[in-house]
Amino acid sequence: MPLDKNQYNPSDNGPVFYEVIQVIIDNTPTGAMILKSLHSKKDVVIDFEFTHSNKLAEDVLSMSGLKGKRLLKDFPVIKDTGLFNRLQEVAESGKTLDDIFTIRQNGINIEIMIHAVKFYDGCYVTVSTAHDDKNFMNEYQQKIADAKKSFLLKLSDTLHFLDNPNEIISRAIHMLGEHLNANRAGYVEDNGDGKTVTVICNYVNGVSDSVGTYHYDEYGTEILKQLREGKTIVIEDASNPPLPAGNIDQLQVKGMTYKPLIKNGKLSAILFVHFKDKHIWTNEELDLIEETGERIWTAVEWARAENALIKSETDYLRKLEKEIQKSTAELRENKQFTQLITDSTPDILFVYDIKKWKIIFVNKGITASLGFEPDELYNYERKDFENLLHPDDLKRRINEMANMISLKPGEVRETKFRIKDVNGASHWWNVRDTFLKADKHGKTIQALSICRDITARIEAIEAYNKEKNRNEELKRINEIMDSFVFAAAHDLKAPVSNLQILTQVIENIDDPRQKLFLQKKYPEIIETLDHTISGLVEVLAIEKETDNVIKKLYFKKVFTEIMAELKDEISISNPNITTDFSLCKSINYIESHLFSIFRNILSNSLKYRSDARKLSITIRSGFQEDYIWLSFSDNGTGIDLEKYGEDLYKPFKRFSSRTTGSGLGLNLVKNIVTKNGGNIDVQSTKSEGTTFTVYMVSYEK
Amino acid sequence: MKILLVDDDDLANELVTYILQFAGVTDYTICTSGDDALKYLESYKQNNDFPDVIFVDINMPGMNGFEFVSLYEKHYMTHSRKTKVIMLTNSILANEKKMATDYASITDFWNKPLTTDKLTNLIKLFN
Repeated sequence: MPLDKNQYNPSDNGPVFYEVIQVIIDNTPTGAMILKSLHSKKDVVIDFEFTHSNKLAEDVLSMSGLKGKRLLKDFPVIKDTGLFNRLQEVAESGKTLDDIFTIRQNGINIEIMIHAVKFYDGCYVTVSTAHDDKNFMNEYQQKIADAKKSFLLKLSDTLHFLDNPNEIISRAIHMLGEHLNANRAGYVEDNGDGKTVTVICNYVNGVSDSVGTYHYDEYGTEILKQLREGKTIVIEDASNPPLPAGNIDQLQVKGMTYKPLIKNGKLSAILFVHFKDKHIWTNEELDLIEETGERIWTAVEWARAENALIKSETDYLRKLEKEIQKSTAELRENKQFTQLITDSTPDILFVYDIKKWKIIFVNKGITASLGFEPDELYNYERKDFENLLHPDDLKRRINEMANMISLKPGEVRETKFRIKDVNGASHWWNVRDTFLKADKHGKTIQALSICRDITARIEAIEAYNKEKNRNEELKRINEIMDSFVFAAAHDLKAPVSNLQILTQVIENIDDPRQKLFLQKKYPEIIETLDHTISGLVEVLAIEKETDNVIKKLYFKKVFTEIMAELKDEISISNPNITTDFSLCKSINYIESHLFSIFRNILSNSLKYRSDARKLSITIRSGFQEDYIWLSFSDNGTGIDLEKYGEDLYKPFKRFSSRTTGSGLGLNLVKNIVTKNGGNIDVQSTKSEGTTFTVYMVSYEK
Repeated sequence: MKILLVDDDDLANELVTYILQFAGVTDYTICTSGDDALKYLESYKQNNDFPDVIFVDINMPGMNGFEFVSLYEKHYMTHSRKTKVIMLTNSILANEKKMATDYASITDFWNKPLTTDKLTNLIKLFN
């Protein structure tokens, strides 16, 4: 039924018309409502009052019972949208409105298509799209849910980084207040006296600050009871019905929600949100307040626990610091003690960092021994240290130092080496290397060397030994001379005694032929005497040699000359003599000494030849390590070394009666060779032959 | 009188034969080494006919005089208690004399050469 604005005035509130209008609106498929203009005294429209509305309209505006409510007064959110002004135009000029408005509700923006026409003294408004569109509604609900989720996430993120409980509460309250577009939000703590609470912080927007202490009585016993039971108090309009009088009035608000936080069965805190005007609380708002309260509580508890932990940690650290200070003092004392010892010990103390090969500590002892200041050697690396070591000890000492890595706690390795002082002079050090420090794997990383300068001691010992050796040498020479003299006397006496007995026999024999026969023995005896005397002369010549000129001597040449000298003896046995001096042709040696070696050894080979075979002699030369060797091999009678080996080189020892040897030859060779830093070796098998090998040291020219 | 002479000096041995003859000794044996002398003693032992005097030169190549005496005492002395051992030497050394005291069989030291007079005196002592 069409409405005739001239016949009907909706402000009459006539029951029939009212019902008719209501039926029409209720059956409108979109949100629909009739707003009646409220005029000022100057007849300016200052607000609209809802006279009719349907369910869909209430849904979209999140408010039930729109009838009697005012657009501006009860929906402050409308203010900034420009809707009121547009509706004002509609009501005053009859202009039709068709537009989309964005209204912020429950923290989200929703878009609503508004269609409005002038209707008597007011507007007929349809809220389109939003009411009949299921998708839109779902989307709307989703938007609300997302906004809530987003807020809570943001809240959690913010609170997570805060550790001061007051700051947590303050920030959370502020966020909640802003989000709900509330006039006040606050956090109240129960004082535990059963009577009072304290607002510890609040967010305010257009109302006064409420921080301070309040009595429960001001809210009435019923409210306190409900809060203690954990029930959230929701008040749409504190003035209707009015709350008990008191400070409430000072709060300047009507819409109130109090969310109690019950912990361990006790009311601990209250979160509240205030609206200056009466406020229709949506479920989303109440949920959000509840969630925020829980989150604030949790964050505060965490922060308090953390602070308690930090406090205990701080206490612990303070205690530790005190202990460290005490230990440091003790260490300093120990260090001073150590310093005193290291400074006053006559020994040189080195600490090496084995891994880095660095000297990391040297005491003052170094100055007394080598003249260096400790600082000069500090941080010395391997190559620096090598420069200080005596070349003969360098390799060994470096090895010893490298092996320090295997030192075990308590282990001491003792050694000696020479080290150069600041002037380059060598000092003998007696060193005890010992373990000092291991890493966490037990590997030795530092070693201590305790070094004592024993140069003076070594020099004293050397001087003593030199003297002792000289004495021993003199004693040995005396003994040799004694035995030599006796042996010489003995060997000289033998032919002399034969001469005596021959003379006696000849004197007592009458037969002239026999006499003549015996007289022929004289030259034989004299020859023996001559051999002995020649041997003695050679020994003396070698011993008393003054013309010890070193010459480069070619073995081949020496051999040839000796062969010429021994030509008579050689002619008797006519031996096969082979020489091979290809490996080593010459030697720098004293001429008479080399001749004597060739003469005596060859002469022995010629004397002690075997009757069983033709004499064969081989002479060779060569190098072995630092020596030049000469070997003389023969296939003669051989020597029973087991029996005579010990006496082989003794003077006047003969091992066969078949020849007229002086018994001095091998003694002489041995003396020559050892005197010149070499040695002699013999290999022999009885009845097979003998090899003498002479090892000689070639002199530098 | 039976004599064993042990000396490596061939010439001296040859000459000593004359001295022995001059002194009237006909029963003698001369060995030029200790080894040879021990072989002879072994043959004496079989006949139980040991020499009255053994002259031993101290300085011999190979087995020296003392070594010979040592082996003699070990193997033959119990069979020849009357035998006297006289060491011959060109030069009597103090330590050699001292060494000789360790040998029960050694009765004397004689300087070489072995002369007719010395032998005659010895034979007189035996008779």
